[in-house]
Amino acid sequence: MSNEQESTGGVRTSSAEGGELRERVFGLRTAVLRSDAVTGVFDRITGRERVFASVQAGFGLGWMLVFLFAPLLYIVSLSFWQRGAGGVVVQEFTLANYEYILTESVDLASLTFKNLYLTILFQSLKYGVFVTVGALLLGYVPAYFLGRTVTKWKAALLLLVVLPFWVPLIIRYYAWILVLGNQGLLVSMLGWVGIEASGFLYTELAVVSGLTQALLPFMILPIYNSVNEIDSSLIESAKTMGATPLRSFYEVTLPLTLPGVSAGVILVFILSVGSYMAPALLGAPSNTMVANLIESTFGQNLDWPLASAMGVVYLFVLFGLISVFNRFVGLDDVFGGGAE
Amino acid sequence: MSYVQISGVTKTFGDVRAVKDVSFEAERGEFVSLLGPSGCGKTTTLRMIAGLETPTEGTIEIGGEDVTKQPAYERDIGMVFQHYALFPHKTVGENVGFPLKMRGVDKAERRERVADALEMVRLPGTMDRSPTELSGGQQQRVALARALVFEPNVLLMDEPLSALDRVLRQQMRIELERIQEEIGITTIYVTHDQTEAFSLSDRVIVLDQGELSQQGSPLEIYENPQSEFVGEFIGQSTKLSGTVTADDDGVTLRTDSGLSLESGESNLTHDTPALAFLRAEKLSISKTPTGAANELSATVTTVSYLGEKTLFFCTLATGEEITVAEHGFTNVGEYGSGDEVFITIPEEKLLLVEDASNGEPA
Amino acid sequence: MSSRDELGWAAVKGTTGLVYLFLLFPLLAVVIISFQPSKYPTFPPEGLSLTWYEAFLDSDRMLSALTNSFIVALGASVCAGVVGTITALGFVRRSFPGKNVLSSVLFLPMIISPVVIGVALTAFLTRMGMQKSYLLLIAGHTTLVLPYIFVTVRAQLYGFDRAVEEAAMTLGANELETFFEVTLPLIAPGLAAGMLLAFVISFGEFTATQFWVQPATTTAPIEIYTMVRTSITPMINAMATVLMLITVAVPLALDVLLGKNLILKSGL
Repeated sequence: MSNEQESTGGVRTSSAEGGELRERVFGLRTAVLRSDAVTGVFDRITGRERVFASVQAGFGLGWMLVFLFAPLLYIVSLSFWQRGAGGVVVQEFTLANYEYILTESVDLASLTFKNLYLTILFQSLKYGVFVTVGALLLGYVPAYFLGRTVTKWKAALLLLVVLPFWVPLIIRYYAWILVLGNQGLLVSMLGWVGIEASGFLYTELAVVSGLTQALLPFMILPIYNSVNEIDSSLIESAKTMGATPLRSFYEVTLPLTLPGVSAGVILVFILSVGSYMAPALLGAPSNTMVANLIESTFGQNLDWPLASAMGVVYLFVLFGLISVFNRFVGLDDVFGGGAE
Repeated sequence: MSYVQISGVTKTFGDVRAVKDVSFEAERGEFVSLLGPSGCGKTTTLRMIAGLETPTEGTIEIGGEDVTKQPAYERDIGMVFQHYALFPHKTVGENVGFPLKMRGVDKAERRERVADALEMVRLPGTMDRSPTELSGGQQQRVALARALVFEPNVLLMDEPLSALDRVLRQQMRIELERIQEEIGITTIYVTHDQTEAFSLSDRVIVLDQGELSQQGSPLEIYENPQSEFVGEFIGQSTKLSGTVTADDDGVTLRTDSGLSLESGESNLTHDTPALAFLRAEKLSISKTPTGAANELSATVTTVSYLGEKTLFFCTLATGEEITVAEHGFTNVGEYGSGDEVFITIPEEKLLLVEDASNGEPA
Repeated sequence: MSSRDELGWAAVKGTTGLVYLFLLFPLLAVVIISFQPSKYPTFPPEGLSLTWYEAFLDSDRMLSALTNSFIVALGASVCAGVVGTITALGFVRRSFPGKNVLSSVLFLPMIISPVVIGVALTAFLTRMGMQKSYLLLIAGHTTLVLPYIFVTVRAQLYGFDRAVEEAAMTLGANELETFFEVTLPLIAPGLAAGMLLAFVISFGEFTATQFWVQPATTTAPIEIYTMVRTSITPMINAMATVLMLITVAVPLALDVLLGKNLILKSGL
């Protein structure tokens, strides 16, 4: 962003030439911005608020329409077609994909599905619950600490929570391989203190802890925001009224942080259910989640219609969850709230 | 033909009519104030003159040209905003130079004119500073310099002093008066503050709920309010309602509570329902009857000594509350709550206004 | 403060420390191990060497993947920056029916599994007869990062004093001049923070990207994934460290150097 520092303000003789150039560029820009073609457009739409709104908002919405909705709609139609020989899509209407996915019976006694997709969908939701509970247990206390602490390191400590979010997921999960693997750091460390162990990788625990670590910032930040907003005099006053620390936390802090908690829970749950990389890198084949099944059906089996049907069912479950959550917390609050 | 001409302007926001059929004009070089409480439509009117809002109905002419549909940037109008609206990312010099840059004035001339403008608002040498480093009063001066540097046809000001503290406000008011006189620019000034409007303006336009209530010189507005709203909004007065009786002896207001107040001149006819506005500072108070025509007995409720004046809050024998202001009053100690006093209203100073509510019996 | 308060606070501090360890230890381990000469991580660490960095720098595949990632991330953050800013302006400044629902639409790429987005866009564009190319990658990544720009710019616009724009208009600037002279410089902090975030996310995106790449456009995360799945070589540590440097250290340094603390202030 070059702001026109040259203008009437500073005496900056050393950059006189650059200033002149900028002046000329500015002149050119003015010429363009003032040209009939440009102002003519404004004249025509001045006062037509709606037109402006749809043009501006339409940029992003149009983008989503082309690159998100049209593709999603296309896989809906794809899900009613069939895979032909060699992965070719046969455009004949069929419900076979959905039948294949959904109609196998459920054994209520052991709550297992005799159907791969439903089993895995259920497993994804189960992992989602584990991860969400784990992230809440691990995330609440640091969020509380960050919200209440008065140290000058607060900004740096907050940054440390955000930083892992910038590290590519693949590296974050790779780091877990390095730590938990057969010849990993943890085995080596345990060996150092005299404990024999083989790796911890390719287990449910590895998948869940990897995901928990990856999604923890999404739990900590919203809770931190709501702790941060609490007027500390509220807690003080609870104490002066005779509440023990634990009691005042339970009576004052906890209820006031519930919006942050629910935002964090929704985010972490939704994101973990759709996870692909954690099970792919940290889990055994038995730890597969929905996203992995869709990927292998699409990429390896080249059964695009079946993969589409799986995707559509996943979307149904996702939007079902969202509409349930939406009754309690607006989605916009979940996403927009953190940044304001 | 006047320089700025507002004709039958109405502005509707959804279902709300913010401005209703307002017409007024400003001569070249005239200082006109739009005065009224918040929500009276004065700011909306100003924004329509600036081109920041488009009137729903009516026309706005400047210098004989119809500018109703013209966007703000084509109108050549300088505007000073309530909270300065300086560009925080530009220096003071760049702020003041901005309108010149938009008009393609070259750098050297720009620099010179910016320096002159800053000189005029008594802020020389601040060019390279950031506006955020300046005090509120200084920021408003920069805003004024920015609005004047390109020698616009009209200067608009939207409550420019309201964000300043009392002392600064007074200084800036005097400064504004000086500058406006110096360059003689047609100025339209929006305020809710009577002192500002009266001290600065040639003409004051009082707006009430989007409608023009009265216009005239400060003197006319104050001494001759023509509506209940103006009577109540301007100055500090006690309102009494009654009916006019006019006979050979003159005009008398018989109040609903049974008082009889003689009035000097009035063009109200016999039997007109009317309101009297008893301006606090036009009343006098004494412990003993003076024998004057309009003398009312009352009881003091509270005495409030303010230094340059003293306010007496009293209750008339007929039950109405009345406020009396005495200037330079020193025997405050003699008055206390519960005292019986006599209040005199000079008959030539009794302000009568026709009661628009048509005097339903009280 | 009572002793019970202090005890409680000490427990809070201790727990926080442990969680930070959980959050950061694995990443730290990668960095430390990347400087070790041995093939497998050992504890306590042995020796110090740049062997794996040399191997990484000798690998044309890795370098070209890194270049690809850079091109795509730059393209996507610029593209999303433009689209996201205009969109945020429309949402904050104008009123139109269904605004809340429509703004939720813009967050969907954040919550729908990237596998589904990847599959759907691939299937759709194949159907449209489009080839896999940088363009597809950039368009796909723009979709994925658009919400982040939208959120940060929108937040910036909420705290924006519109009188400043009106002042510019009365001073003779038309709508576009006002945008470039006043609006853009003032929302720049939010936009820059959003674009930085968009860059970082695009740079590290794997899940959807795996459907969109072809050999010539393979990005760094894809290359690392392939290496992790086939043969784990310590070169990955070096590459991962370099990637972390690009996505964490560089933005941070920029932030500090520019002295604006955009990232810290933006909340994400």
